[in-house]
Amino acid sequence: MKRANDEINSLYESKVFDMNFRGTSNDLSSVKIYTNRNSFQIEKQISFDAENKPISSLEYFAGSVLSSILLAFLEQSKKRRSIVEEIEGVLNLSLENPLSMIGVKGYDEEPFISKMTVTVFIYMDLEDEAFEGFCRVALAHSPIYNTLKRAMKLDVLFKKLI
Amino acid sequence: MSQDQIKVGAVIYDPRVTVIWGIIADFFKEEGMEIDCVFYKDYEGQVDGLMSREIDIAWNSPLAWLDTYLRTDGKCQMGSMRDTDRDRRTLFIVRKDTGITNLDGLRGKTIGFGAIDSPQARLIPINHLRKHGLAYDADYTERRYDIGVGLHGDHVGGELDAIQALKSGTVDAAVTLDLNWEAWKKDGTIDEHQLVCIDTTDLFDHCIFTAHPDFSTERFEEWQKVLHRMDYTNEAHQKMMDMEGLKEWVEGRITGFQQLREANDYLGFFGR
Repeated sequence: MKRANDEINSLYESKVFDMNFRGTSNDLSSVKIYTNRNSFQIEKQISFDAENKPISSLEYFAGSVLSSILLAFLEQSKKRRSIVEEIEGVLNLSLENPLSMIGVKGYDEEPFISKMTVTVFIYMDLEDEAFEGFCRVALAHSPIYNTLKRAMKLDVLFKKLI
Repeated sequence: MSQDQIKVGAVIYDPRVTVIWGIIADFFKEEGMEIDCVFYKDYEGQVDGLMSREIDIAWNSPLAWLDTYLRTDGKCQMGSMRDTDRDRRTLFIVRKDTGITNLDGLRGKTIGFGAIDSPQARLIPINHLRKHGLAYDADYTERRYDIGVGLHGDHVGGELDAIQALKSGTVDAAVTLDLNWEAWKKDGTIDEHQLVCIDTTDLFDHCIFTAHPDFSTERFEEWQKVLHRMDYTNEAHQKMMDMEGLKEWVEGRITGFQQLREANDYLGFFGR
């Protein structure tokens, strides 16, 4: 019997997983995003107030990137008898042209995230080379990382905790 | 009298500063006098905006006040200021090991100043040196640290760079606002055992609300009455006041800008 390969199995569903989201705004101020079984409200794209509690679009975005990378590591760990004993990540991002977001006259350049750095701190019992290999494989399983790395400067650093 | 929103201008170089104006705008709305905040990149743009009536009131630096004053032939209206805007002074700082003890000791030396348009870190101290016999461009060398030009010294970077240059020996003296000197002593930026203040300018005032000559004086007074009702014991107001560096809004005055006017005449800053 022939094994399925790309040529034979060209089913769309096998190659692509589509997702759809709906966003509404009843108050014409905030936005409600619906997932399959849930929803969440977003009031602002970004807040410059350190004491602002509601989660902004930019915070969801950063959380999405960081969680995808950390979860990729944890999923990879489970395939390797849970070799990750502890993990933590830090994400730093730089938003360029923030003043054009708030309409400061004299600034009209498009705001965008120019740089993002994720540092993953991991406690696991692997030698340096094996550690590096594990991290690379894990990272390759983060679709969000794989997407963004094609679009922007996104560095991921691995730090082994001893 | 028009009851349209009063348009208030402010110069913003850091998006976090918009939090201050958000709190002020919310308070005015609660008080039944809505304001529309218009933000500018620099003070020249803001004064342009005031002159073209894009805004009614501008939160002006002292130099922007002078610019407005000159452009309106002295007809602009002065408004409130922060309590901390009154009676400021600039300090002349040297390293203790240089043995310089007074302004005359700066003759032939290099002095570190802030940005070219900083009232406190360039214009006023240069005028002070003139009054004490040290002519600009003749009796000392100016080393300028032009950080945030257009912001009239709002950004502390130029003064900080001048102080760092003093510490490293690049300059023989540096000038800085009294409030910065006190803050740097507290946070350890400077070591009082290494640096010493040898002289200070006379007292001067800093920022001030300025209204267009044609803006209703009655409305401007009402607006200021509301502003003065901001209260440091109110949690939201306290947050705004701490960020903006005041405990209360006080009546404005222009007597505290005399040294700046002299400096402008001396240096021909506005070329008028």
